[in-house]
Amino acid sequence: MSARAPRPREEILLSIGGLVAHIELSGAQPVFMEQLRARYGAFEMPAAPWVERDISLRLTVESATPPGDPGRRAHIDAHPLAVNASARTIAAERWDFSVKLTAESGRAARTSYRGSGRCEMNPFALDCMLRVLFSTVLPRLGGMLIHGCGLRNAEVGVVFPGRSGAGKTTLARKTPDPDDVLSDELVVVRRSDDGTWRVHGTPFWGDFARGGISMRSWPLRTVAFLAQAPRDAVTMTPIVSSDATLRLLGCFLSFATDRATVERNLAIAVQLCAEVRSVEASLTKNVPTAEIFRKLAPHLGPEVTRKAPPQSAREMISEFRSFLRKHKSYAFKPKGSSMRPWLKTGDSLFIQAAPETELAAGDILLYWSPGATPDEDALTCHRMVARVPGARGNAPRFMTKGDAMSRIESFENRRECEILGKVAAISRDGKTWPVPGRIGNLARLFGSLVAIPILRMAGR
Amino acid sequence: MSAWRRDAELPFQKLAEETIVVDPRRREVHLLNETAARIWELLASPQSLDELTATLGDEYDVGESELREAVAECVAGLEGKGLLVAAGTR
Repeated sequence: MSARAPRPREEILLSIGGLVAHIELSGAQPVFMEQLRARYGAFEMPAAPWVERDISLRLTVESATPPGDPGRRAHIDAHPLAVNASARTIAAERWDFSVKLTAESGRAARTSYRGSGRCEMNPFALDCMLRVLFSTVLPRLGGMLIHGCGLRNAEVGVVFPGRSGAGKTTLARKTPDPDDVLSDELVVVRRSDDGTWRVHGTPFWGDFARGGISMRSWPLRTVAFLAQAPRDAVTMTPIVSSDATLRLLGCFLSFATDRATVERNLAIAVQLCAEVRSVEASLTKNVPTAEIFRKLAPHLGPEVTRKAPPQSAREMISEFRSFLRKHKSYAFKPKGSSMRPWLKTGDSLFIQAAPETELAAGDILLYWSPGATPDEDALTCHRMVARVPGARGNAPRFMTKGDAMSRIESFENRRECEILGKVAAISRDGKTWPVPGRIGNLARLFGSLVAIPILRMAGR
Repeated sequence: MSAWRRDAELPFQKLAEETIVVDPRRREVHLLNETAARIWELLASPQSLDELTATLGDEYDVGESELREAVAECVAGLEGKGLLVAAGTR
């Protein structure tokens, strides 16, 4: 009898609408993880153990039953989606997944949910499970998943709630820049720390088949309820908050029907509709997006183009990563003094996306160092010292160092930190030049390592 | 005389004038206008048609028969939507 091979264990840390979920997947095959990363990549962050999590879930991934299996239809009919939520537990099950989470009190009275379950090795099963969990936990944090199309317009966000067939995907498809689409199916709306409402993109998409490009959220200026116009014209009719609340509740994604959940959802919907403008957007599929926003402009307020900074460092870094993924290179202005004298105040760096295998000692890396909270995340720009093979089959570790620092840092890429790219060129005093080759970089690196003890001795 | 009270299981939220009532079992949401919201408020405790009419008669400047007819219509409407439960006779 041969010993059974250990089940591979993978993990993914997602931040969607500011809600952080860590999912450990036991038994997931690499192809399944690739599918998940393709879908949730814009919302994935380094799975460092010190990042505060709202949801921690251990999933056993099981092989999916083939669609043609004769017993599958009966199994599906016998196990429709069922969600039971109480103050302490959240349980959800369907024919292809089953999870149970329990509330735990953390530091500063922060509640998180920890649990386990099983899920078919099928992206649709996991996606449904995530939608259920996020729609159940978000209202407990003052947010909600709205069945609607979210669009970014300049520096603000607009949500177009609507049920199936209302035109959400059509609206997304018409948008000139698909990166402005936060989702054509479900967006997160949540009150921020400063009391204002913001809309976040999600990876929960509909027929548009792509979601938001980053964790970045935008100030929510208007909720525009979709309605069919009798002819090719667009009208925006302001609606009172009670009517808006009524309509919003019809688009508030919620699977739990217990009294506490419904009361919570109702209170959030009432608050949102009392504080954010609402209109009925009556339009047809032929109306261009530019015309829709032209008519919407009076309802967006005067501050549409006022620069809205990212809500947190995490949002800023995630957005920077999306630019880098899209353009392959992007400019970055570093702060701090850890790379002096190589870097000076006011320098701009041109970062180039680079696969992990192409990185070598001497390269200057830009990487995402996650903190416990979104505001504690940081972008670090340090020189790579070495890449050390991981022990016992573990992933390799990257050693880095700031030129002006003596301490060498070490991390596992994509787990403790995430390497976004390497510096390809530097711009100083209006001139730009490529970063010297690796030999020059290495000489600088070792020079720095030697120089620091001498300087310390001289200073005594 | 028959009496009713509002279904205590239904979450609701009072707005400035109106009230929103959610029925999770039927997955329905109801927006009650000012008058219906006042009746909903009174039906926190069991009330007969006479009692409701007497209370509202002090608040609204309208004839008793007209008021009684309007209240009966509203109560029937709320009952028809499953928002009220029978509370015996009074």
